[in-house]
Amino acid sequence: MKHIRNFGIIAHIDHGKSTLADRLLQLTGVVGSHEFRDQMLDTMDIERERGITIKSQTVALPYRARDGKQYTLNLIDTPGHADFSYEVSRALVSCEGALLVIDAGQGIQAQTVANFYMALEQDLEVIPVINKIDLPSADVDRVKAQIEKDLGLDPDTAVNISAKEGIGIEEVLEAVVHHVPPPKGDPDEPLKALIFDSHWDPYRGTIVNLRVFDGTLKPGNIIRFWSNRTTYRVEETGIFLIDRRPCPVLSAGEVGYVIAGIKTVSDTRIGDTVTLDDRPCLQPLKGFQLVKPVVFSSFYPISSDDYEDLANALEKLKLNDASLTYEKDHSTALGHGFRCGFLGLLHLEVVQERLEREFDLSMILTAPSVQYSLRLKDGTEIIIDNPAKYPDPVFIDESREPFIRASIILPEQYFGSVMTLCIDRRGVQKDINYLDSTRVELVFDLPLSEVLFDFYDKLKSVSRGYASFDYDFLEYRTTDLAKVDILVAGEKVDALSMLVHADRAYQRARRACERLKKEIPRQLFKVPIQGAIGGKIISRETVSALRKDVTAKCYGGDITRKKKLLEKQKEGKKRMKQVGGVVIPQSAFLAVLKSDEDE
Amino acid sequence: MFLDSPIFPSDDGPAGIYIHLPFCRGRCTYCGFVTTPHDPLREEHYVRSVVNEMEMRSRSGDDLRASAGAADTVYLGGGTPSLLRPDLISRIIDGCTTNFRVLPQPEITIEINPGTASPAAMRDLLRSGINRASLGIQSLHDRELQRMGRPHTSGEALAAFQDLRDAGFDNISVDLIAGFPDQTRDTVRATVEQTLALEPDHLSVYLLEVKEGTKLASQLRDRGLTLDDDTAADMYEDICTLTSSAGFVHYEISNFARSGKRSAHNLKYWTDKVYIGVGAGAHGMTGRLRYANLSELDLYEKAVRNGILPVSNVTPMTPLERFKDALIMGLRLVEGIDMQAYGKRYGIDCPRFVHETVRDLEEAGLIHRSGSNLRLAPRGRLLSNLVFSRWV
Ligand SMILES: Nc1nc2c(ncn2[C@@H]2O[C@H](COP(=O)(O)OP(=O)(O)OP(=O)(O)O)[C@@H](O)[C@H]2O)c(=O)[nH]1
Ligand code: SF4
Ligand SMILES: [Mg+2]
Repeated sequence: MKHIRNFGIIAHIDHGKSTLADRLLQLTGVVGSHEFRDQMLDTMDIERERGITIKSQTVALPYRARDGKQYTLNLIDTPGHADFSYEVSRALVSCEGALLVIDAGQGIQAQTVANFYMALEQDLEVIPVINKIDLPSADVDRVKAQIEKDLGLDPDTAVNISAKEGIGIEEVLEAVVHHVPPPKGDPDEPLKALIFDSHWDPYRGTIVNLRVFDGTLKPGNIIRFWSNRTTYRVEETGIFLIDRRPCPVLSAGEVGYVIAGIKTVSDTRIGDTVTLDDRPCLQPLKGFQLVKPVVFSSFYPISSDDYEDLANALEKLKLNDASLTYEKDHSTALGHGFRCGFLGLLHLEVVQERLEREFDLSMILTAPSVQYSLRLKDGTEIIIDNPAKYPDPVFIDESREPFIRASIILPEQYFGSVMTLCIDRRGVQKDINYLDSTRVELVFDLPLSEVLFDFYDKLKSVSRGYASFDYDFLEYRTTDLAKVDILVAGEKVDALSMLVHADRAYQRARRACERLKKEIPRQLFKVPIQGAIGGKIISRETVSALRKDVTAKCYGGDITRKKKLLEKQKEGKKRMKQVGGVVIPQSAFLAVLKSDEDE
Repeated sequence: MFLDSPIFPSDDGPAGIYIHLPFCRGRCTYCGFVTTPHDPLREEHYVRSVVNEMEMRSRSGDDLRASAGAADTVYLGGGTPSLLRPDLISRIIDGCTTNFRVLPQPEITIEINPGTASPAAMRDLLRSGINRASLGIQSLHDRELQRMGRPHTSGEALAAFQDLRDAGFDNISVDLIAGFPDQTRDTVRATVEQTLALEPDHLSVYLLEVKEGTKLASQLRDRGLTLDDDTAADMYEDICTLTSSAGFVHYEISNFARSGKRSAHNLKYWTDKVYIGVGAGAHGMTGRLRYANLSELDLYEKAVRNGILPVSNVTPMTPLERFKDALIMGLRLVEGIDMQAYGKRYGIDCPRFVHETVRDLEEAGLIHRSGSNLRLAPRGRLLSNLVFSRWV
């Protein structure tokens, strides 16, 4: 155990965690040159396409240090985006140390600070790593000053590297060996292991990723899950070397996986303790703090036959995404579906894409909403996140919406535009702190709903990418809420309803109508699209009637081509929903959800 | 379902013969046909292959079973058939008559592009038995012609028409395009009026469809343009009005004719007759199957040289499939179809089939039934794909 080091790589988004991981993989020979590709640990298609990490990934690096001894360094690469911070916090529970990567050009950003505190909460040894020193804009001295001032760390412990150019990588490994303490724990004690992740494998059932704190675990053992006392016989134990690599035993201090023929998906719970059936531990491990979803949306399968498939898919996806929540839901327009909760809109998008790609489903999503608190005239309080459940306003005494306190770090020259943005988002300014001669921290109270929808993108664009922000939930505050309904051909489409601040109602209704107009294909008859509050129409667009869908030329060979075209059109119709007499494509539902930025 | 047990028609009548001649002077921007640059030597080789293919097809007999080996129309399409030397054209027509039982007074059409045939060549064509010309005018606005990538001017087009008449062609069809980007209702109307003033016997006006992979498709993408369906629909309606006041009968979605001058060959496609396709990329329908020839010229010729039928695709049909194809093609005719007759041909309860597949579209006013007659309502012509998609 003296030769094991468990450490995470944490940072603000894009500061180079995955690129550093690449270099560590190469330097320790885990991957050879022919199998290597950039951001090797970003294995999911969505991660590669978007160039961001979504899932934490574990790899065991064999390393012969300068002291001549052979070490196993268990690295966990983590995501930087705030929507996935639960991935980071879970990963860190398995670690004794963390590499805090800081972009030498950008310096300390909001998630640098947030992730740093997460590491401190776990009592981890934090090693600052100043990355991208190859950049012309790199300013190592300034970053060092920030490390001292903002984080209270000794800047002399920082390692200067360029992950891209491979400079300083060995120093990073030496720092891990020397500064990160070896794991504690006792291999002779009863088994005590923490499930920090899992995923579904169609052939082998649930594959459980765990960190062993005490005892040992090997094939043949009968394990027991603490929470529900179910038992399984271990088929395989192993470690991660990009792929799973079986090994005869996992001992205290080690990170690995276990396969035990677990076919009942719901048996495995992230944060649960695994012990041995014949020699159980006395107390479970602390587990993880539950995260609360902040934004909700309903998912409906395009074809109602796929409802069961969607239910199965959600259950399996949840194995690999512990922050996802869902419950049954029903819509008049769209039938049976699920109300799902997410940590943010990027999280929502990722879940949607994973369901589509990994489980081959097509879905319709409803407008995302935060949770509102309503006090009714009869004195009862209700929490709602679903416009469909919004009561008749005459019964509502008071509506309240969640506010957050945002800390925004930005260079001084963008002060004005960021202020304007916050005020436009109904923000209330709380504080201004000058961090150093050029950087300011703005503290604002903002409605969560305004922050979730494209605030981050807007912030980036008004500050040319230099502002970063982090937030904490604050409280519920009185608000003026309105439910905007959308009517297509005179029929209310419940799945398109949204709860918005009264001041935004007109604008949102108009935008929704405009977008629907663009996305709803012309039909045999003209289709009015209306936005309404209560019975009052506040916006209106019309999709004019289809006039032309014809194949002008149709002779001998054309019939084959034409039939193919018509068949393709028919296929496309399968991705559409018939609501009332109108065919609405999936893209129309999605378009309504989009922010202005996406246009 | 509605189907008792569908059968193939017992008699298909005489066939049509289509011959593809894929040579052109350039490539028009919208063109998605099988074409290759004009090259006299290659053309000579190619004609040999075409005649050889005819021999093969007549020997195999398969193509002709349903039509009892008889044919009464020949259509030389392209490409630009008028680029071929008249003696080569003559060889092809001889090939038809030696290999197939061509009935007396066949309709023999050749496609001609302006500026590709001299008056003398036109007279030669007539002498070789050709009795109908289809002239590709497309537009009488030079700017539009340029945009289309047509290798001729409006002046050459008008001259070509006059030359054809002077040579003695008494059955001339003109092809026009509407809905091309940059065309306006006014320019299209002007082109149609000017064309009608020439007094052609037949007119085909095609609403442009952008085919993937054409130059036009990428031009539109670059310019961020999509075609305006409403304008195209307006143009179509203008064309219908103009042609009918000039005494033309609108007989198919895109085709107009003076009385007695409908295209007998093209009617084969729309009236469920069989046809033999010869040449690279040509298609045929034998009554039992559809086939497509190899479209790559070299491959096509190689196959023929080796004595193999040069097909790339043979798709057997079931009676039900052929029945549905027949409905789709038949409804393109303005006069529509006789459901009783079609039902009897295929042993299918056609009125019930129609009722169960497109009743709602009848209610929406796209199709019209009276007695045994089924046709597209005028509004349904431009929306015919909505109807036809029920039968694929
Ligand atoms: N110039 C330079 N660019 C770097 C360096 N390290 C990483 N990058 C670039 O920074 C970008 C982000 O790198 P990643 O490794 O994906 O960053 P990350 O921290 O893993 O990002 P998330 O996982 O999305 O939070 C990529 O374009 C890298 O090529 C470096 O040392 N120098
Ligand atoms: S003349 Fe006809 S076949 Fe030749 S390139 Fe133009 S459109 Fe195509
Ligand atoms: Mg990453």
